[in-house]
Amino acid sequence: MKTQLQIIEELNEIFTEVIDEGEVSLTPETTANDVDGWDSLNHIQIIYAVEKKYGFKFTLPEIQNLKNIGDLVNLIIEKSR
Amino acid sequence: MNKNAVKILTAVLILGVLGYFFYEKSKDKDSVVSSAVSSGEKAGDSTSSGINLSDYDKIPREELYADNDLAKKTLDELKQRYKTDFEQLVKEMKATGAKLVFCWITTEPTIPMQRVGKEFISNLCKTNGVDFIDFVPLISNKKPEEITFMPVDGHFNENGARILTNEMAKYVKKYDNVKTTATYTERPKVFGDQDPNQNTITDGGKNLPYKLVTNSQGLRMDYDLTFPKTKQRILYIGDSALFFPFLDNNKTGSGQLQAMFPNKEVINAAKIGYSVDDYLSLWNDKLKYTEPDIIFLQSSGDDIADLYFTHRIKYSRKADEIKPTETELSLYKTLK
Amino acid sequence: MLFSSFSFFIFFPIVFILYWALKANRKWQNMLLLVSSYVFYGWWDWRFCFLLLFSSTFGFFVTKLLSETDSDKKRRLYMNLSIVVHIGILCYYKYFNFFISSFTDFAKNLGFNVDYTPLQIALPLAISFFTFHILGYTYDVYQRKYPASNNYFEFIAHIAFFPQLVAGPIERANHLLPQFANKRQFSWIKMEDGLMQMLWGFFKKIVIADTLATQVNYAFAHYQDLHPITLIIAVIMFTFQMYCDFSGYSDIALGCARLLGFELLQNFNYPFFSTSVSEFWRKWHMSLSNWIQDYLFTPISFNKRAWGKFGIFYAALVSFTISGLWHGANWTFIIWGAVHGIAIGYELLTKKKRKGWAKKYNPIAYSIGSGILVFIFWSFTQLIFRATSVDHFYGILKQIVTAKWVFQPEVNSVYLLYIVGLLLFEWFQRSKPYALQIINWPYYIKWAICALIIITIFSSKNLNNQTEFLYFQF
Repeated sequence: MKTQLQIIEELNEIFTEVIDEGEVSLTPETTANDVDGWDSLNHIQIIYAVEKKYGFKFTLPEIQNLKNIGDLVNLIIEKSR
Repeated sequence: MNKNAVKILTAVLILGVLGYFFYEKSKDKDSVVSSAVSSGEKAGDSTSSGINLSDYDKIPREELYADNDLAKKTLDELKQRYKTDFEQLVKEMKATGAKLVFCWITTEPTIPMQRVGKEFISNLCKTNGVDFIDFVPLISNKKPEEITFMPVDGHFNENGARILTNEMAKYVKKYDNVKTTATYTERPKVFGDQDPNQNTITDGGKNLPYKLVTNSQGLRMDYDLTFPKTKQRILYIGDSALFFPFLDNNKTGSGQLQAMFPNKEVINAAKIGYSVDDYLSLWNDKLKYTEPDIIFLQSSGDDIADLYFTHRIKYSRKADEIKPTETELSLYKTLK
Repeated sequence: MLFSSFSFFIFFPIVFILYWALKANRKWQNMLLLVSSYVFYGWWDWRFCFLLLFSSTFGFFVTKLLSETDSDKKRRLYMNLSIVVHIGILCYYKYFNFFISSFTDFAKNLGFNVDYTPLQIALPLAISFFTFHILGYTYDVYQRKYPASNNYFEFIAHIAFFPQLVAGPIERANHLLPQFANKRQFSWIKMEDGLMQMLWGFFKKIVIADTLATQVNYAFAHYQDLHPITLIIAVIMFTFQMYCDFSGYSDIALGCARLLGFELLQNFNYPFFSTSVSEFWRKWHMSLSNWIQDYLFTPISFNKRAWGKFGIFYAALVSFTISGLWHGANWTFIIWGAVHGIAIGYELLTKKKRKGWAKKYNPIAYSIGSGILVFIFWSFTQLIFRATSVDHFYGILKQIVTAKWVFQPEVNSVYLLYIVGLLLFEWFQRSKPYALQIINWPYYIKWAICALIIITIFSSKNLNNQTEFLYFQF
C-alpha cells in the first residue's frame, strides 16, 4: 500500500509531464486554480495518465466530484484496494 | 425630507415628459400607441353614439357586391362617383394634347368586383374615347407564383412587371410622336405624393425588403425632371399595381420601361391605395405640370369599391375631407 | 405570446399583480406561475400545451424511477429511455422531413427513383429548449449530482416557467428548482433592476435588431445585384442583429423573471470583447455552451481519453456539430456547427503555442489583433448561419469574392453607427451583468436615461411591423 505522500510524488511527475509548463509541486490542498495550465482538457489527459499508471478506470462522476489533489489521492487509494 | 422632495419632483417631471410624449404619439395615426389606444377605446366604449371616423374598420369589399338592395344602392352611388371623377380626369388630360392609355390590370379577373368593374369601366372608356388595354389575357395563363409574390403578397414581381412593360412598350413605340401642347409658366416644386429624396430599404411588414428611391420632386424615379423638357415624357398614374411595391426602382415596370427607352423620361406617380378621386386631384394639383405626352392610367374594379368611405379615410390623399354619405353609413351599420 | 407584443403588455402586469398579492402562499404562487406559463405557451397554439405537459411529466417520472433504484443496469436503462423518448419527439417535430428529404436526395443521386412528399408538421415553439432542459436534469440525477425532485407541480412549473420557456436561457434544475421551493422576496431594488434589464432588452430588440434586420434582409435577398462592400456590411449588420435580437430576448427574460423574484442564468457576457473563439463561446449563449460542455463535450472527451489529443478534437467537432443541428434542420446549421467545432478543436490543441506567441508581442496589440480575427471568423460563420441554404451561402460568398468592388454601399451604412455606439457603451459597462445596469447612478440621470430609452422605443417605426425573435425558430 502506497502512502499519500508517495502518490502525490507520483502525481507530481504525471502533472509535470502532461501539462508541460515547467515544474509542478502539488499538496493535498492544491486545486486546478493553483496550477498554471491545468484546465478541463489537461484534466482528462491527466486522468488518463493516472489510469494507465495505476491500472484501473475512473467513471465520469468520480472525476467530476474531485475538488483538490487530496480528493484525487483518496480516490486512488480507494480504487487500488 | 428635502432630498425626497427633489426626488419626487424629478420623478413628476420625467413622468410628465413621458406623458406628453405618449399623448403626442396617440394623436399620430401611424403609431402603435394610437392603435392600442383606439382598440382599447373601442372595447370599452362601443355604445357611444358619437361618430368618430377612425373607429371604422375596413369592410370586406365583397359586401358591396352582395345580392341585396342596400349593397346595390351603395355600389350604384360609388359607380356614379367613379364616373364623375373619371370623366373629369379624362377631359382634363385630353385637353393637354397628351395621349391617354387606360390599363386594365388585375390578377383576379373572375371575382365579382372585377367583373362588374370591367364592364363599367370599359364602357366609360368607350364613351369617352379612351384606349382600353386589357392586360388580363397576358397574365391569366401564368401561375401566380411566377408573376407575383404569392403566397406572401399578390403584387407583381420582376417577371410580372416585365410582362406588363413589354406590352406597354408597344404603345410607347406607337405613340412615339405624340407631343403635349400644354406648358406652364409657374409650377410646384414637388409633383408626386411620395416623400421626396427617399433612399430607404423597407419591407412593408411582409419580409419582402426592397429599396424605395424617390427624386426630390416626390416621384418614384432616380433623377429630377427639368424644364423646359427635352425628351418625350411618359407618366404612370395608378395605385399599387403601378407603384410596384417590393421591387427596387430599376425592376419596377416604370424602371424597366426607362431602361428600354433612354431617350424618353418615365415618370412614376402611382401610389398605394389611391383611387380615381386621388388621380384627379393629384393631376390638378401637381402632376399636369410635369407635361406628360403619354399617360398610362391604371385602374381596376378595386378603385370603385375603394371609393367606399372606410377605405378612403385610410388611403386617400384627402382623407381628412372624407365624409360617409347616408347610404354608405346605413350599409355600414348593417355589417357592423 | 411575443414579449414585445401588445398581449404581453396586458398579460404580464396581471400576472405580476396577482403573483405578489399571493405573496403569503408559495404554493398558490407556483400554481399561478404554472397556469400563466401554459397560457403564455398556449396563446400561440394550445394543442402544443399537451406536448409540453407530456414531456415534462415523462421527464419527472422517469427521473424519479431512475433515482429510486440502485441497480446500475436499471439506471442506465431509464437514462436511455429518457434520451430515446425526448430526442425522438424532437426528431419527429424538427428533423423528420429533413432526414427523409436528405436521404431521398442522396438516393436520387445514386440513381434510385424515390418519391416523397414532406409531411405537414408544425414545429412546436420552444421544443429544443425544454427538451435540453429536461434531458440535462435527468442526466445530472443519473450522475448523482443531486437528488431527483419529489414535487411534481414545482417540477412542471419550473420547466414551463414562462420567462425562460420559449428561447431560454436553458436552465438547470439545480439552479431554478430550488427557487421554486423557496420563498421569493419582494424588493424595490430588484424591481428596478428587473425593469431596467427588460427595458434594455426591448431597446436592443426593437431599436437596433429590427432596424438592422431590414437592411440585412434586403442584402441577403438581392445579393446577386450587390457589391462586395455592401454584402460585407450586411454580414456585419447581421452579426449584430443576431446579437441584439437574442441577447435582447435573454435580457427581457432575465428581467421579467427578476420581477417575479427569480434569477435566471446569465446568457451573454459581452462576447464581442473576446480574444479567442473558445472565449467567445463562453460569453455567447452561455447556457447552451455550458450545456454542450457538460453533457456532450466532457462525456465524449472522457470517453475518448485514450485517443489523446485527437479525442479532444473529435469531442469538439461532434458536440458543436450537434449544437449546430440543434439550431435547425438545415445543412447550413450543421456546417456552421462543424466549422465552430474545428475552430474550438484547433484552439484547444494550440493553446500552448498561442501562449508563446502572445508573449512575443505587445499584449494590448495582441489582444486587439486576436479580437478582430475572432470577430471576422464569427461574422463569417454568421453568414453561413443566416443563409437559407448551402447554395445561398455559396452564392453570397462567390459574389463577395468575384464581384467588382464599388465603394458605395447599397444598404444604409449609417446604421453601423448604432453598432459602434452599442460597443462603446458595452465596453464602458463591461463589468456589469448587463449594459444598462445603472441602478447605482444618481437617480435623475438613470431615470432620464430610462425615459429617453422608452421614448426611443416608442418612436421606432419597427414597432409597427414586429418581427419574431430569431431564436424562436430553434
